[in-house]
Amino acid sequence: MIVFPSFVTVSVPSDITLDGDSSIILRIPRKASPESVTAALTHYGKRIRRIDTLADALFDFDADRGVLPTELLSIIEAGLGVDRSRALLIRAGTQSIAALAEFAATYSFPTGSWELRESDSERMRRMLTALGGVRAKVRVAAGPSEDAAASDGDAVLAAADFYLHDPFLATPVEPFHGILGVLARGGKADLHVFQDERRGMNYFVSGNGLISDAARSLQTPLGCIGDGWDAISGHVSNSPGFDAVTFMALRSECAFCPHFRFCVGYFREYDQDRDCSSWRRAFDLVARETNRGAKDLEDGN
Amino acid sequence: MNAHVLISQSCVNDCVFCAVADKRRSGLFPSKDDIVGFIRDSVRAGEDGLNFSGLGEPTLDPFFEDYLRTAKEAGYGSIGVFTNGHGIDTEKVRKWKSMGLSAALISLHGLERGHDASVRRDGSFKDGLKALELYTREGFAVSVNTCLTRINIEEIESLCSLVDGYPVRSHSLSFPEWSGNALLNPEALIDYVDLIPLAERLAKTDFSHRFFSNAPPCLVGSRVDVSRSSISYLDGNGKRIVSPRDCNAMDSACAMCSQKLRCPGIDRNYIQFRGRNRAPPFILDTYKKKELFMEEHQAVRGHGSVSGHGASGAKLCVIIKPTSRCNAACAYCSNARHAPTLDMTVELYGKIARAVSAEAKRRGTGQVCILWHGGEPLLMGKEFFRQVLEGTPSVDGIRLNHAIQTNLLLFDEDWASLFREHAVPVSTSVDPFDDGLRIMADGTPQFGMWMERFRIAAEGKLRLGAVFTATKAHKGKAVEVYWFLRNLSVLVPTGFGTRVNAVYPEGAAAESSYGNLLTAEEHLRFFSDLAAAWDGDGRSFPLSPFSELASHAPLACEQDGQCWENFIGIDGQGRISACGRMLDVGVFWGELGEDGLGSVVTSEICGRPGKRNDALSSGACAACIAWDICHGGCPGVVEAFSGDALDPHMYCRTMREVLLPIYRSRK
Repeated sequence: MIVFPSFVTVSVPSDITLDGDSSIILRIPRKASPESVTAALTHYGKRIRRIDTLADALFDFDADRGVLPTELLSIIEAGLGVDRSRALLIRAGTQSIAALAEFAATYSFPTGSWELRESDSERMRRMLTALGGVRAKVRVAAGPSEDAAASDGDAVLAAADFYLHDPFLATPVEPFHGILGVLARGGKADLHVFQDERRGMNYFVSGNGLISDAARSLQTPLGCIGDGWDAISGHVSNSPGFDAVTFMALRSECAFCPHFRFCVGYFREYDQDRDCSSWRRAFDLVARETNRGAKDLEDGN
Repeated sequence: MNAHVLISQSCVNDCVFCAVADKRRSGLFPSKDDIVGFIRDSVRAGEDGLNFSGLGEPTLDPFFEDYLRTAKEAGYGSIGVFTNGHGIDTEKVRKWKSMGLSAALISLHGLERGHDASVRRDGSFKDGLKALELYTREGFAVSVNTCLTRINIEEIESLCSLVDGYPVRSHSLSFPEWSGNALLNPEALIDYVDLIPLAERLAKTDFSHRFFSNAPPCLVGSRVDVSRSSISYLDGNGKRIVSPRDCNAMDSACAMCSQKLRCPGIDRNYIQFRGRNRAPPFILDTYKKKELFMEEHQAVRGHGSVSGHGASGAKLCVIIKPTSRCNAACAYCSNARHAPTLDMTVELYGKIARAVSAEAKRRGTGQVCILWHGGEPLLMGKEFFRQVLEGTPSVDGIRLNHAIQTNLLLFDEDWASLFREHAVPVSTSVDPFDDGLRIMADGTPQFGMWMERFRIAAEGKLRLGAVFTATKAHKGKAVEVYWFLRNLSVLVPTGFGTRVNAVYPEGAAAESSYGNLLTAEEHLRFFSDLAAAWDGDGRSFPLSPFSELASHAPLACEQDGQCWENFIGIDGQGRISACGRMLDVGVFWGELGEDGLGSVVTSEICGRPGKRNDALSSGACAACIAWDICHGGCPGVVEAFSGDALDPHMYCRTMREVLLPIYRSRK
């Protein structure tokens, strides 16, 4: 049975228990029972860095009723002893904007973190407005859209524009907030950091016990929880995942892309044909606005 | 290739042009063991001919016959001696023949009057003539060498007639090497232009076996020594490989010359010590106006305001090129023209470390930057660098800080570990484009392998730097260059700096007939685009030359106007030059001697570049608004382009229109 070392962070479903000292991102599946969540919280204790769940696990949007929210939140709060707003990430799905906004407001997530996936730009803008209205922090997922057909390719740009220009913005929209910080203050941060996919530092354990770099790379697992750590870590350098050197060496357009430092090959490491133009447009906007702001400051405007 | 060994410590003559007199006076001679070892090693290395030359007259060496025996036993195809004929007789000639001596190069520097005056000993001509008679009579392969001087130049036709009376293989008429006694007796030496009428006169004689040596074909016609190959050579400074062009230079005007492969070039010491006003006609026009300008300028301003080489308090950066070998074949390499030289030994590096430490002490600075360059320095091997880095972290309290410039093609985890252990920053060159410029020795592209090695260096947590060289192939690609370098920094967890240079016409870049060079307009456009990309990215990325200008940090060596104060270049054989670029060009100030760097870097010649600042700032660059950030650019690069370091930089418009605005934009 694998024992992850303390310097890595492992995303693991609540019905799998792992020994060791690693940090844990605890994923609560859609139909998790309060008992299993309680057991996981008890087992991992202070190792838990964050709890990830789906909005649908907390609320039956079709039935317009809560599934487990009150009990679950009580457990989380008691188990972690920390501010849930910093420890809980809720992955929004395809719920209606109105239901989502009502849920966020009703169940006291005024400062909770939400992950939004690519959709059409109008839906993205409305979700951001709704969640921003209850002061929720938001992360725009860099993974593929759950409903590619519904995406108009401008949703990410809309999110960046919202972050940069919405006059009532009070909470950050990642990854743009972090990138803006890099542009303004220096340092390094790329999508692998925002997506918890730092190679060699982040691992993903699936519901059936497979281990991979990330949720999106489960088709090429590094091993399973029955393997030893040495076997898993030894496979990391050979994984088809994050390998910026490969992208540079292939002389792909990534090598000369002004935004490579923000993605470091994130979009194409598992899918060479992935279209990242929507993200490039968003990064362009953030970089342009940052430079303009910097020049305005220099000029005393 | 033939091996040459300089034996003997004495000579009965004192030739006005003797190129090795200074070495003889310095008392630095190879030992008998060194000579015997060299004789044996050279034949094993595949050299089939051996010549005994001399720091004096070789036949006067008390071990001459021992050496002959050793050479014969070693199995050389031919064994020759360069001799003035002193003390020769039939018995000796026959004895030496039986010991394997098969060839003789006899010095005859004129008829009796001219010869004896040239060698400054009465009776020397008779010795030489006797040697000519004896060696030819005994069936040796005999050649005659005549060094051309003002003393003998009117006798040359008569001498040729005399020599033609003997069955000699060849008769070489040599333009003197400007070293040793030549520098002490310049009045006795001819100018290059004197070769022209001599060649015209001799053209009417039998020239089938006669040729000019060390003379450009543009002056003497096609009858020049075409043996441009290098020789393996042993003297008191040890073994080395010497190219006929080592002390010479090609003018930029020569780049298009169809004879350039046959040409030995122009003696740099001749230009340095005698001045350019008596240079060959084809470069005379270029230099004449500059010389006049310098004279006018000095009349007005005296000898210049610079402090001379190695002023007190000046920092010291030593560029060491331990080998000229390289595992790559980059089309724009500035080091590709010259024949390979011997690799540096750890012992020689030890001498260098002591010498540069002493020089640092003289300057009152507590540390020395040592930049390892090449060739490809990693070809020296890990053991060499381990001994260098572990052996001399400091000398006499002077800290030696090492850095290295490498193509990375041999880099691995062990190198990373070694350099990390000794905190050696690593810089490399890169070209990500499929332009065929950066290729391996076998012609395959470097980039894929380089990228893998770069990853090892980056993951090795080394301080890294990367240099991109812009060529004509990169026209319109400045923005891509910027983002490529910028993106490389993503892979480096520790410090990363970059620089973009433009190729200049030295080495391979010159030999490709300027095909890789950017025009002034192309250079301006390239750096303008590059600066725009850097500016648009917030100027946060360390990209030289922009970053230091924007922050008003110390300028790069080529722009700070005092490069000769702070830099020294030393090659694998201990030859000293102004910097790495000047090592490539082949301008040597001297060699590491018994007194270290001292006598070389304090000599008058080393202070000469300092006058360039005054000459330019009150002359060609007097009205230039970018002077303070340019100072005329790298003297070596300017000279490579125009043939004269006193010319304005050919890319000075880029200085004014791109770099100056960056410098002025700092709030």
